[in-house]
Amino acid sequence: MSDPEVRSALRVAVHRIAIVAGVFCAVLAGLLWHNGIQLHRADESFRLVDSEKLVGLKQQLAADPGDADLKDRIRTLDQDLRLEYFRRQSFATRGGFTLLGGGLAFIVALHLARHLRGPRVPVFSAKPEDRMRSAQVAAKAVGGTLIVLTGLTAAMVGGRTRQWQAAPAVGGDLPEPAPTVNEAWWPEPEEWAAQWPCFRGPGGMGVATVDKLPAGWNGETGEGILWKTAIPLPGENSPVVWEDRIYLSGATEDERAIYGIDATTGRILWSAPVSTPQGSRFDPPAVMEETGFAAPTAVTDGRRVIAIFANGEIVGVGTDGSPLWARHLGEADNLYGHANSLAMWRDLVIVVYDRGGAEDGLSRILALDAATGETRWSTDRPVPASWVSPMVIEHEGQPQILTAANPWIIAYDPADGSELWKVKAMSGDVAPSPAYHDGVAYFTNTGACLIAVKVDGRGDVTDSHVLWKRDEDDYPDICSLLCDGPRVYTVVYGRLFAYDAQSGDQVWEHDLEDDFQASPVLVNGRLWLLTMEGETIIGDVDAEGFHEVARHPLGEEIGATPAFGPGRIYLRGREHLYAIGGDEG
Amino acid sequence: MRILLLLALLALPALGIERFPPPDFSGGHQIPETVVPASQARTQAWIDVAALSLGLLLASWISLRLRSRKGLVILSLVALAYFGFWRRGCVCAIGSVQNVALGLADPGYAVPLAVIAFFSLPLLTALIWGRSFCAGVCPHGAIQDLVLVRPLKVPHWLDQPLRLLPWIYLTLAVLLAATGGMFLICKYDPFVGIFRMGGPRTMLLVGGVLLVLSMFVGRPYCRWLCPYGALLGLLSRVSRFRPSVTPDHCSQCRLCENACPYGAIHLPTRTPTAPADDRDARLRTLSLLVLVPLAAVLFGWLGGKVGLVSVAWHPTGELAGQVAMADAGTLPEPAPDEITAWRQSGADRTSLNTAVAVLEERSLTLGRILGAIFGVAAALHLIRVAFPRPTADYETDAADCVSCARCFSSCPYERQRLGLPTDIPGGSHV
Repeated sequence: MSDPEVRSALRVAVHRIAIVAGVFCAVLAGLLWHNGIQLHRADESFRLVDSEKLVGLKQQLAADPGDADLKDRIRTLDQDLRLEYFRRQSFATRGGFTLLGGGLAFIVALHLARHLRGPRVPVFSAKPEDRMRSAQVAAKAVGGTLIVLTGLTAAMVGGRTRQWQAAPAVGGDLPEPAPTVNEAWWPEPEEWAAQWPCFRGPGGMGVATVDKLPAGWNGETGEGILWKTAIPLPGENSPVVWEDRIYLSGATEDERAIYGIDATTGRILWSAPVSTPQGSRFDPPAVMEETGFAAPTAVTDGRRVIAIFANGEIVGVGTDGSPLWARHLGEADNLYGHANSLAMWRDLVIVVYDRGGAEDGLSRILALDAATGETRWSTDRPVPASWVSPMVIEHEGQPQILTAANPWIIAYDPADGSELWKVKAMSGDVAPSPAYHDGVAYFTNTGACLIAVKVDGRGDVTDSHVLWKRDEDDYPDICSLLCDGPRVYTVVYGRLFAYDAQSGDQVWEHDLEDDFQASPVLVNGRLWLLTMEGETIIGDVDAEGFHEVARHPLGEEIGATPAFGPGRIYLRGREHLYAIGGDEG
Repeated sequence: MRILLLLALLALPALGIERFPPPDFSGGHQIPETVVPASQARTQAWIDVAALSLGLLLASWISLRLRSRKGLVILSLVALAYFGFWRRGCVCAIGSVQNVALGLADPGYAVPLAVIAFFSLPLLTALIWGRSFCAGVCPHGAIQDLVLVRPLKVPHWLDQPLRLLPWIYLTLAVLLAATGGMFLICKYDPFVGIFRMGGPRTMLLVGGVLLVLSMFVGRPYCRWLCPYGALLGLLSRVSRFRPSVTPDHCSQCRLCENACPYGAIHLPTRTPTAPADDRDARLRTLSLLVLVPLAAVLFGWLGGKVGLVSVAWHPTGELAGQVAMADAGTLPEPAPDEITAWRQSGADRTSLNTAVAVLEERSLTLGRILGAIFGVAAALHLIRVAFPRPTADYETDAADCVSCARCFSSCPYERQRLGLPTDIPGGSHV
């Protein structure tokens, strides 16, 4: 082998072998490729049992079962197809091994040719490569790659929505939902006023104006009931309404959901299940049965719906139920279960999240971006757990969030969460929501007081801006206050009280002999009171007293405050949502 | 010629054979009941472990003591024949990473002892003798090494960024395996299709392309994709023994400069008499203190995001997504079998949502941890590239050298040791 001529001749021979092996492999590969395509077609388009020709023949046989000739043709075709399949399969197996052998010969021949050629004479550059310079260039390349990689990954995963949380829609022709808004946007004040967007309606005032009030209704007989829809999950929260859509939430220990309902038919258009990793980490909170896991009322601005649950999960969805954002505000520490309803100011969702004792420092009020759920501001509150829903008012151009807890009544600036004024007056487990009229806010709680505070103060106004304060009567433990201008109303253990809004003097007292949990509402100037048994008591109020006009049974227990839409009343019973409408009564 | 070869390898998908539907018997023939073959004997698994152990010891001995390229080629051929074509690429050390990850994350999953052995023995060997596994035992490395006929040098600036890919692959593979999503490495193994003479067309195609590439670029899969190689490189960095180009002394002859097809030989950073640069050492320390924690936090955050997205690749997440689409009426008909099976099981949406929520939480946490680990690895790689360890001689890279023994024969001192004719610059130092 040392003879150069022999080596050269061998090298040429090996080269030729390599060429032949390469050509052989290429041709064989081409044939195998073609065969593979045919096999694929045999398995997909021309599969035996579904072969178009075979199926056609079988159909003919079905029409004429006695045709022996047709049977023979089917058998022959079936056998041909099978033989063809196995022939190609066998070719693929044998061809694969042959290709492997050919490839091996090709590689061995190339290696041998290289060996016979002898080692290459190394070619060096005049100067060795500068390793440090090369390292610097490589380091820049690595750094640049990492930056690009980070950017690309962030871009790819940043905009991905988790489709498994998408809301299922009920089939059928659905009305077009209002488009969801994912940016800073909020309705005009008149739009807010025309809807029922939050607990107790526009501004949380508990005042409604409804055209064409029904003459009456009876849930048991169906009289005056437009529709009745079972809500899958229980909840003490009230419906909120925006045009032709109703939104409410429901929850049990294990499940949480927001529902979108067609106001015309009562059909549940979508159900958005709620689940966050953080929420699933904690055990379900201990709640009172009367409170449940979905006591807070949701809010909507007609483009987004936001709901909070007893376990601290708060979720924003679009009006079609599509998930926008979900957060967990921390483990709930609440004796009866979280019940503070949400409020909205512009594009901010106002959340009072009072927890534990005052010394725990857990309580806070937050403003979340309605589109993204991000915290715009958060202010700590020096109070223990409370159950009062915040109320957003405006006085002399200054918007204020009114809150109450033990012992502080505090007003915040919704723009930045700063305290505007506060009064030390409350005690106990504060639950009734406030009322407001013409520069004066009213607060109460059982065992504490009924107090009227002028809202134009700043700082601690306990000694300067309290218009009046009473502490000698019984006061509500759940039902919210209501003010119609001249009088403030409280509902306490089946009795209705009226107080003079300016002086605080008790004007009259009326015994209704019923239990109440829902907050009273003023509808077209008349006072509506919903008993826990489900009866709506309607009456006129004046300086002389309460003059009952009508009682309408629902036939189902009620804990939630009613909601109103154009010509409609929406009552949420323990299990159903009712729409009431009809002729004016 | 190259085109013809490329065509030949592209044809490998043709070997993929699929089953056809059972025949439509009209004569009353009953299709025999499917018989499940008996499980593989445990002895086979232990034979594999014994073969692996023997291979690792032999590879270490051949590369470090015998310093024989021929010996390693023979061992590679045997390993390729046994672990590759005979055992069909399974079990393999590369894929065992996933079993171990799942075993650590899921107490209900028992990792077979043989798989643990396949995972740990090559790593243990790397800790002592460097990447002997890659040198002569791994069938993936062997098949690439054996087809390398015309190695081209890959520029350092391209080689080093590409070496980040194995860490990315490893991070994703562990994330998906530990959450029970899928065994990514097995699913996209490029060479198993060739070992088994069949498989998904994509797998065969990628394997064919990599083999063609391997004819001109040394071990592209090992260098720029292999997730197990990332771990081996990490451990071999601190190995007790490792291959050196010269058996005793570097004469700076530069003959080994082009010998390594894997870019694993370091050129000297300074002349033997020049003092070390303290400035680089200070910069290196500063970079370690700043860059490593920063990268850990950044990629930890990013890993969490990727973890959440990865739920969609998990069977449970995929099912939940399909259920949501089906409920919304956006899932094309006919509904996938998974949906039908789920509906027939009587399971409710709540339990599915709960399962997804738990999965999300696990993926988020694991994604953050793995992302942070990747960040640390990437930062260390960057620092290692930017501030190479000062060397006066031509040396093998502790992490990247696969102990293939190619460089030995280029060294005059090695040739002198072997009794081959040589011309040592400056005379013999022996």
